[in-house]
Amino acid sequence: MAKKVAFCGMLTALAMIFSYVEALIPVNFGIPGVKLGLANLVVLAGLWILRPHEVLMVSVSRIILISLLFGNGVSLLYSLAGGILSFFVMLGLKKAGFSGIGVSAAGGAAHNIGQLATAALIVQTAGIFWYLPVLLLSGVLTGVLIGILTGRVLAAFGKSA
Amino acid sequence: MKKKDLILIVSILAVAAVLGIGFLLFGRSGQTYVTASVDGKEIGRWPLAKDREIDLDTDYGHNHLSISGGEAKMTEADCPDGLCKYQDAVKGGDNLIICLPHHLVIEASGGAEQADTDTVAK
Amino acid sequence: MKRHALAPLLLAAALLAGCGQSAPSSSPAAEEENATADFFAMDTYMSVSAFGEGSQEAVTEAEAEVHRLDALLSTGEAASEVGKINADGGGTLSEDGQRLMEASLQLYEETGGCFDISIYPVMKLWGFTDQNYRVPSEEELRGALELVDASAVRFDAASGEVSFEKAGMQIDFGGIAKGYASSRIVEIFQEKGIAHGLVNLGGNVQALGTKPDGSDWRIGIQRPDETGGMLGVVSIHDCAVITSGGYERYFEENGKTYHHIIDPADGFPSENGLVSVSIICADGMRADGLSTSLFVMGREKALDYWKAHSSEFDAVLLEEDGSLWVTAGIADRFTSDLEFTVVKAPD
Repeated sequence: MAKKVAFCGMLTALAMIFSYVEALIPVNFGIPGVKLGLANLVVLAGLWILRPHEVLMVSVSRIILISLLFGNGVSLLYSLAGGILSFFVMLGLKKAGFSGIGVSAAGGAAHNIGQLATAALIVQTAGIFWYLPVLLLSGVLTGVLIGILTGRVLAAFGKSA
Repeated sequence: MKKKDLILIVSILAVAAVLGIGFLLFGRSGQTYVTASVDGKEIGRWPLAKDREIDLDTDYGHNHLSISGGEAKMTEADCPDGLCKYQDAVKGGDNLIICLPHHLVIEASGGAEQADTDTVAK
Repeated sequence: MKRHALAPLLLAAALLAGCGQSAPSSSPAAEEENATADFFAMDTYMSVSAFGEGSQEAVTEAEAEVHRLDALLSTGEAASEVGKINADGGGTLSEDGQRLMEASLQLYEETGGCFDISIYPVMKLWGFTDQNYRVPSEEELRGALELVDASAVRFDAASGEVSFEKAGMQIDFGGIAKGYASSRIVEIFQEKGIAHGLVNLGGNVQALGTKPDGSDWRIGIQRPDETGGMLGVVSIHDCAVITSGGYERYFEENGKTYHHIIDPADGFPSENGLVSVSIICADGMRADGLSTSLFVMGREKALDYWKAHSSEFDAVLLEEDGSLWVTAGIADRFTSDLEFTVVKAPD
């Protein structure tokens, strides 16, 4: 049990490092919310090596901690919405027998949809959904990339997604 | 990767493409004004044709909008991430700039004269 | 498998359907019933709209009320209440007349004489009452101005009796009659249980509640020039928006333009740089009277007056040189393509 908690803690720390590293690289796509989502690598890998509630805990802890450290109340809100929606979509797709890349691609898209919906609520402007096509596209592309990376990582663990 | 993964990915991309084409076809264009709103409430509207510098000070914080050459860009923001400064300029079309921490949206729009009114006082 | 492939598509479709702001808020009551009456009264075109159950009846009654008030208050009709009082040098006012008189005398006091119902003899000289426009001679004006003095109106609020201290004095409620009429219509709407209504009496606008969908009414303020454009748009509910400007009624003689807003101080059309004054106020009658008064005051005095009464109303002022002034209380609900200055209330 304690070993499991420690392992979850390490994964959370790893995810936080990924978030931090990503924040250090100023990649600007001209559109808010478009980013690689490196931290999703940990969540995705977690789906194959941990139990669902443990993965959710890692993901939510990561988001809360990162927001406390570097963000603010608003970023917490929409990161959570994206993270949680993405988690359940990925969990469902994994159980439906999709492999890592498909799960990750849909997770990326879901993450962006969750963030966008929260943003639309916050600024109370439906016009923000204008970004949806671009964010779906970017979510899928980054998701596929993360999916491939996760496959390599899991292979190193001797697991296959 | 399985075949069903490919179908999933392609179908999401198809949705994105259909939405994107739809927005481009039915989206507004040729807007001549830029509108700033906070919490969905309009706080200002300026013609894109005239260069000017606008300070947007709201309960949430400070932003600075710069209109020049028919484009509006966010040039300053005291929000933690400052992401809005890197967003594409608002021109005549459907693009918008969003400063999420400040609940601020900058978008292209028609003028007040084009905006619907219910009646006119004279 | 196919089912799962469709999932994201459905999700996106659901999101899109949910985000459409334009989706009609289809509460059945809002669509069920509404009524509008357009008619001519008080020398102007009027439009009255009510929304919701009973709106047809409310609108019909509103139109009848305007015609009744028109007949009661018309200075041109010898048989009207005001006509008789002007002919007889006094008389007893009806309940409507009493409310108008009380408000008029109060406005006279508050505005330091900028609003004066006894201006009627001067209006007649200029021909604004019967459209026989002409520039009166100085002598004529001096004579008529003798009679302009609302402080010489004796009014007994208990009995409704009114008399003039100077023989020949005459009154005209024209400066607040339309505002009173729109206030009365809103009262009628409320009695009938109407929650949403919009009244435009020849450019004098008054709104009851919000729009049926719950959003504010968007009232355009006309630009005084001939472009037909707008100065700006105010978003309001439960409020009157009333504009005064020299462009409403005027005539030209020897190349000079004379408009109908006469300064009671000198008997001439007021020339102080203001070209349009809009008042935004919950009370339509007060808004009507104040729009004329502030127009006569000129920008500086008008803004001083507002600062002393900033909780009661808001104003939008336009000057000849194009400068636009908007008082703080309405500034965040006012949009304009023009640059404007927000006037702050004193702390």
